[in-house]
Amino acid sequence: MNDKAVPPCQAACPIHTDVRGYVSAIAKGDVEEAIRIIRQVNPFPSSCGRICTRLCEKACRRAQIDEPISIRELKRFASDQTLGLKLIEIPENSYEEKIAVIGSGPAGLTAAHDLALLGYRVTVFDSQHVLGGMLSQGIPDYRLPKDLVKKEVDNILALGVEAKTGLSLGQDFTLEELLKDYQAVFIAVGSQKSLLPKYNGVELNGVIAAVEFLKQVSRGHKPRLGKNIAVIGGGHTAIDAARTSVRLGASDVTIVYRRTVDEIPAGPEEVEHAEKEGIKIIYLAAPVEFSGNEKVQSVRFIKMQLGDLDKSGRRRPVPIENSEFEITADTVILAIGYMPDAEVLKESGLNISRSGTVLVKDYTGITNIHDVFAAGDVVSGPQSVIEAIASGRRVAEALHHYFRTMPDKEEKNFMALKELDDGIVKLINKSERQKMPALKVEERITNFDEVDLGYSKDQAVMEAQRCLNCGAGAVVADNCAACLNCVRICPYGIPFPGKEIAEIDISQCQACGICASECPASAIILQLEAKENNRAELEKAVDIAREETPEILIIGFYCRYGSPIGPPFDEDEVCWLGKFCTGRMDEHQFIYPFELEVDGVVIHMCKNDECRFRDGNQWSKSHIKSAKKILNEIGIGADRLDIISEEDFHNFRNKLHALGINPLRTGKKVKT
Amino acid sequence: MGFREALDSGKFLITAEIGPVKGTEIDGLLEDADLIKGKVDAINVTDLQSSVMRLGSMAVCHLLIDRGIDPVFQMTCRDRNRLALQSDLLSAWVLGIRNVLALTGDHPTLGDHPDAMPVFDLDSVSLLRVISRLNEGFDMTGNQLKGAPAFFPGAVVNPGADNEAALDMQIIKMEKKIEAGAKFFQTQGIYDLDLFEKFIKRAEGFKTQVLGGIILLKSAGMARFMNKNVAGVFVPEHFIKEMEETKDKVKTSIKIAAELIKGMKHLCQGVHIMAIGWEKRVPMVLEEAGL
Amino acid sequence: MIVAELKPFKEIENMLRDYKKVMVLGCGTCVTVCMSGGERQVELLASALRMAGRLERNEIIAGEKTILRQCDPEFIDQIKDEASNYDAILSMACGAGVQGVAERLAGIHILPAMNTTFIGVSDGQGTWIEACAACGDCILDRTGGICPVARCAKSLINGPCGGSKGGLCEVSKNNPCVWQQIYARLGKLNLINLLKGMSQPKTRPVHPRKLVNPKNAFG
Ligand SMILES: Cc1cc2nc3c(=O)[nH]c(=O)nc-3n(C[C@H](O)[C@H](O)[C@H](O)COP(=O)(O)OP(=O)(O)OC[C@H]3O[C@@H](n4cnc5c(N)ncnc54)[C@H](O)[C@@H]3O)c2cc1C
Ligand code: SF4
Repeated sequence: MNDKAVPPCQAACPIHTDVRGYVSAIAKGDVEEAIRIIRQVNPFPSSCGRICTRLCEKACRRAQIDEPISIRELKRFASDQTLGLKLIEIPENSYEEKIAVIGSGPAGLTAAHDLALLGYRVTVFDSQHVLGGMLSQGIPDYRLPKDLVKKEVDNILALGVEAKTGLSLGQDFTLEELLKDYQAVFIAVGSQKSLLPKYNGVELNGVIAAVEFLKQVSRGHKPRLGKNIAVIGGGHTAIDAARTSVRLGASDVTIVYRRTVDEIPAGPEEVEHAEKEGIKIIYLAAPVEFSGNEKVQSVRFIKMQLGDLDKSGRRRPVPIENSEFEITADTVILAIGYMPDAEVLKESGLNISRSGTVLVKDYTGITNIHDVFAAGDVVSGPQSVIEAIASGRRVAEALHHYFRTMPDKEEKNFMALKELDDGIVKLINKSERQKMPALKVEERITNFDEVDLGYSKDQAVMEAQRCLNCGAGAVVADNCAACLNCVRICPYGIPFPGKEIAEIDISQCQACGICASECPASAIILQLEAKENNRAELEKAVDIAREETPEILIIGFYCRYGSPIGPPFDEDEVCWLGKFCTGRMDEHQFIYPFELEVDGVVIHMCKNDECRFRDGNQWSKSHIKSAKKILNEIGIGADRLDIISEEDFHNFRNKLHALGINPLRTGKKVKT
Repeated sequence: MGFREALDSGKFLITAEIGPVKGTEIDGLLEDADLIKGKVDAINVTDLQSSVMRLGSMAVCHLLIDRGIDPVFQMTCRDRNRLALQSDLLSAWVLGIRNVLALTGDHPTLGDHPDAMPVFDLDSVSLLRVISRLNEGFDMTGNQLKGAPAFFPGAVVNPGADNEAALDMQIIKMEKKIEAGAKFFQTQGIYDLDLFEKFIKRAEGFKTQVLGGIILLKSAGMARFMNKNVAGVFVPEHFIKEMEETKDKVKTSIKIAAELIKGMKHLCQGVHIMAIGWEKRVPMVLEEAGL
Repeated sequence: MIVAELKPFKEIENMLRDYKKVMVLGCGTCVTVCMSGGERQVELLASALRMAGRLERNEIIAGEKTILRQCDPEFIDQIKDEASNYDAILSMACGAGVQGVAERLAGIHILPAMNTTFIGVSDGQGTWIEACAACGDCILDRTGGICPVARCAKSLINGPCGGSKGGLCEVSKNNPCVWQQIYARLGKLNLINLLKGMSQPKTRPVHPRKLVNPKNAFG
């Protein structure tokens, strides 16, 4: 068993965000907690919440049952809900060292952010006047609005990071010059140059490169493209270029990709969006020649079929003889890849690979030049924002270790929990993934407004509650008496008798908490809901409720899964507390409120077939029954505690009013 | 002729049963005994039947002897440890008691003193061995007695055990009881002669004497109650119907009992009639059965 | 394992009538396993006692503590200092545990919260059954590993009494007749013959019994 293993989402995330942590915070409706967790590792939650490549979702174990959790949309929800929230204190300058960062994309700015927080003085240089790299100049507005990027950039500058814009490495300054004023230089200039194929006619007017085109549009230009557009490629840039063309007025846009829909790197959602917007996609075809008179007029393609596997493990497309066809095009946009601008880098004295990327020692980003580091797309070639952020974080840490002469830290190994066993998968209820609301097609193709609208609160909470809380389940402590009660009662059959104590395979535990509520030694700890927290939460709620000096104070417990959006019904006298299934509540949790002088306790009854955890209702009823017996014996009276549905509430309240306040408040015992 | 001699004589034997009262008023009890005296070969006296506290079996047996009746002293293991059991046996002997029926006994929880300590220091098999040992002139631990009794020990068996395992164990235990010294057996009430015959066939090789049990049916309700609650008793539906439809319950009851007795005549060595309050009617049963 | 159950609440309340500071002391072994006297039950009982005390206008301070075994002095020593702050200790252990604590902490009144019921085994979720009477004269070799001394209402050792109906015990009608179980088990083992052997009346132990392990108890 791998008890140190983390949820697969966290293991898959390049910055190992505590996904489960923030998702479960949203499941409780606590967005502030959620954004705090996200911000600990990620200075770009708004951006990532929109355009992240979400490796987490590909790893999510919920997919074994139905579909993965919409982790990215939940991140977006958390950040959208907390835009005004101040999360990070401005750090004090604690170190003398000054660091220059070249390039203000996610890699450069993340490093600047982390270094500033550590107490270093950081200056960011960029050839552009707007900071943010591809986030602000490249990725189109309708996917990632510029004002949001600006906010995130400004937050970083607010930490005391200095920005020097409009200055290009190799043109306006050299590495040597920088190294005189700065103790280290971090190169994060990204990949900026489109690759151009060597077909006939590539030099014709109207044949343009996607990245450059998108940057132009980002800067506010509206190039004239004509009616018919052919986009060649299948990545983000291709789709972005096509959808941007539509928004610039092109009526007939076709994407041509050499492989099939299954291989397209842009991903199914992007493809779906594009198709909805009227973009045609031709699969299994590649250009042979561009023709036209000075200006391009048509492209000739050849049909392809998939052959053997290539180095990347994908099947290589091979041309089918005599299958050529032609498409008319006023503009051809080439989106077949882009690379760092190797010239400048070489001139600066850096070791460069054959494909033009900067060669570094390892994850620390150390280059061949002393005190010069590099990371992000300039090292990896075009990747993703989250990878750029991850590399920026690593370099910041490496620099800190370097300056403080601390030994290099071993990169932490995040091992993922293993898959759910088939037997367990069968026992888990299916639950549909929340659909992302989006602008209607006709409302979006004439402008650059953001297409996806974001989850409503209800949607976000419901989506978050789909999370299986992987690895946050029950843990057996040393004082386990090996009674094996857990082994006998787990609705999923997960605990088993170990050599000395009961053992629970955390990779399979569904965190229902029934075993914890039934453990006679109180030796099972539910990571998701520690006992102390339960008490503290209750005490706080009672204190707050008491301030309003209600005549009768009732504490209500409801199941959050059963009533995701909040208390099941509204009653002035009831102070509600949500639980992730009331089956996990032990008897003491039902009688303790009375010790706090609460007058009544209600538990909202779930319908039997609704229990997320199969047996929850049965257990809550059994615990309530036993708690009622105790209340009777001590003279508080069993009628003050009940499990009810909304219709029963009035009866319960009447009964309670007849009984009067908690006898602990009057000292008068109820005759039983 | 005493009980033992009667059994040895080979005649078809008849025993009846009386239960001592709760208290000291014994007139009715003795009246019943007088009424059946001479018509039966022995009368069993029960030992705190159903674990209800009452007059003791030994004293009543002694009173019967005074009236010329040969009693069967029923002795259970419920209330006495091995010391008391042996001592009471010696006491019984000097009071003239000759026949002992050794039983396990009901559990105290079934009676009117449910919190009484259930003793069961010995079980019925061990008790029979103890009786045999006393007859040989020794107590349980081998100490010589000054003067030994010569009891005629008997035991009970339940031929109507309701499943194969239970019946098998009854037979095994019966064999053990014989080995321990039991000379005769009285059975639980019999209503199904076919089943009884099967049992007798199985026990044939044991070469012991069996007195088939007859319980007088007082009503259809009683029959149903026994079917539900009394182990080993099964009153077939046709008897229940007869009791239900009859105008004269006593007459029908006597008729059924007599019928059963007649049927047993060629199966076993005698009958043991449990009248349960209808002791006065025993002579009528015997008359009807032609005995 | 020893099985015990909580006494009626009223009885406990009465016992504690004259005490203000009571330590509710759980035992982490047998009574935890049978879910009647472990840490969780300590928490519940202490809470109930505090509330009941307040209602009687006789406030009670009920401390909560659980040690691994109350039948071993070394474990009891772990609470020695803390115990001196209390007027009484309410032990949730079996009778042996109560006495263990009383012996070790002789200056404090130790009260039993439990009725010790039997030595038993688990019979599925939340159920335990009596299995051993600690008679000191084991006959399980002859009874297919099922003890008639502990599990027959009359402790019969030479076969059933004849009162069983439908395979159930005549006395406690919810329980199987143990002799039927023995018969079935021996049948499976092809050992029905063992039933024919005569079991001698049992030797009876003299209380209190004591076990001395000579290799370990010298000196
Ligand atoms: C059209 C498009 C769509 C994309 N969509 C996604 C997506 O949906 N999800 C995703 O995760 N990733 C996406 N990517 C990839 C992602 O944007 C990049 O991987 C990421 O931005 C790389 O970050 P970086 O910091 O290394 O470089 P960049 O973001 O490229 O930043 C480099 C910065 O360096 C500056 N610079 C360059 N040269 C010099 C110089 N000589 N002197 C000074 N400054 C210089 C540039 O102006 C720029 O600001 C997309 C990329 C493109 C082009
Ligand atoms: S179910 Fe939740 S914790 Fe598990 S992988 Fe998916 S998001 Fe992560």
